[in-house]
Amino acid sequence: MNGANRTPFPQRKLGPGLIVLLWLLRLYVVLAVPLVVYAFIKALQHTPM
Amino acid sequence: MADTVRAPGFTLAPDREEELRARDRARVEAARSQHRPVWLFFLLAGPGILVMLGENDGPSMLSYATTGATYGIGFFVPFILLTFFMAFVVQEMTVRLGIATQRGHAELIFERFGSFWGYFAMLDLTIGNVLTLITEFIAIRAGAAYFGIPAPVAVAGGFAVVVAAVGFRRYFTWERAAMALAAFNLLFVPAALFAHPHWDAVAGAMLTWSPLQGGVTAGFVTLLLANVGATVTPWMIFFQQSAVVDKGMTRADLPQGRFDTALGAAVAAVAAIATLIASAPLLVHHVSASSFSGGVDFASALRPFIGGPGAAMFALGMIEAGVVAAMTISASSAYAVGEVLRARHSFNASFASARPFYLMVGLSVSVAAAVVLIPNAPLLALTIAVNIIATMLMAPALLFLLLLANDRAIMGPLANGFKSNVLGGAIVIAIAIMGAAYGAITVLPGLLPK
Repeated sequence: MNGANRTPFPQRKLGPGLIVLLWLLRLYVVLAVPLVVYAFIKALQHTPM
Repeated sequence: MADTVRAPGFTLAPDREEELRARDRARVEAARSQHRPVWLFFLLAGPGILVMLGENDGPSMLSYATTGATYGIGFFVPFILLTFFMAFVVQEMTVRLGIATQRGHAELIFERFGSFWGYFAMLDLTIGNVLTLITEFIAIRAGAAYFGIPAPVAVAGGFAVVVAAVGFRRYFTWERAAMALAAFNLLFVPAALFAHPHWDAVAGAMLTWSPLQGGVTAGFVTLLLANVGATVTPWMIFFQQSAVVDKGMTRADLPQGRFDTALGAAVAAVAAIATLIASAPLLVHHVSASSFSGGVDFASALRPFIGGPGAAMFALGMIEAGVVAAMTISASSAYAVGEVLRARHSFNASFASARPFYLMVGLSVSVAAAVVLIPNAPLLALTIAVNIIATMLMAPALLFLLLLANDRAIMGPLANGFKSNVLGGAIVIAIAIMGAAYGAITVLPGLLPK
């Protein structure tokens, strides 16, 4: 478990399908993060203090 | 065994971490060679039981209680069982990943997909964990308030337990302390029995997935998401994989690792359904849970219906839920930070050799405990929001889990088979749809009836 002394796995070679999937994931993140922030702020505002 | 060998002017640190793990492994191998299956399982159990009971945390138990108070015994009873089956499918992959690669989840994402996704996973985990840890201390405070314990005392007590368990610097001791505390999650079972439920109604709900009071409304979708978020969350993936590695589990231990996970899911499902059943009298007696601000309100409101002892068990269960989750969630953050920083990350390591790891445990629980003591901290909406946020952030985490579990270059023969991919793929799609549904009702609140 001593991460400092271990040889890392090489980075995975990504095929075209995986590249598209990861870009879709980026899109999901771009859409989901503001929504999560908005939902969180809304939840805070609507919480009885 | 000496931790360090000291000589004038310098300190030579032999590998305490490896030595302690080797000692644990020797006991496992002895149990295996002596054909003592129960003892072998006792030694190897831990990550699965802890991850499942750790996820039966403060916000989760509040979500189950809110579900019981809002919908009673009906659709959600079998739905909770389904969510724990989903959790088992997901977590079983982490056991194989940990055993095959001997690496934590954050480490694997970083190495196989590069720093962008590595840091994203870290950020995803850290934000979710910080918010969730805050709600764990809210649960501890709320449960203790039922017994008249002042908030600072309750929060300090919870903090002390988390820090004391880490202080042993021994994975096995930390794990057993957490498991002993996690057993108290079953306090919700007697609390449910005090509610004198109609068992034919419970059995009917299991078979028919009904009744569903009020049909599909925005509130129903929100509780549906909260219940999924109460069972399947990103920290669980990171925690169990790292714990499997820290425990030193090997290929031969896979059956026990799977059984550990299944047992944890079964016990946690029983406790979750018990919480729903214990809270169901609130629906029958038309007590609205919408204004409840935490576990103390539930325990107090339930007292006339499940009695003093039942309500006390409910409140004690809330304290347990918060403490155990604070231990496991802070551990998942610490493992991930150690992995990404390529620093030592083990409960067997000395403080000096694993500073970032131990600092992360201390820092995350300190911040959460401090926030909870701020007057007028938001409560129930925050706890439910945490589960919903976890659901939305779960889709990317699950996608990486599936990609890694299919990566034959690192998984070898333990890579996902057809069944795991079908089930895992279905879970990813289901969770992505639920996330999208939540997005839709957030942006367009009039889409579904209230």
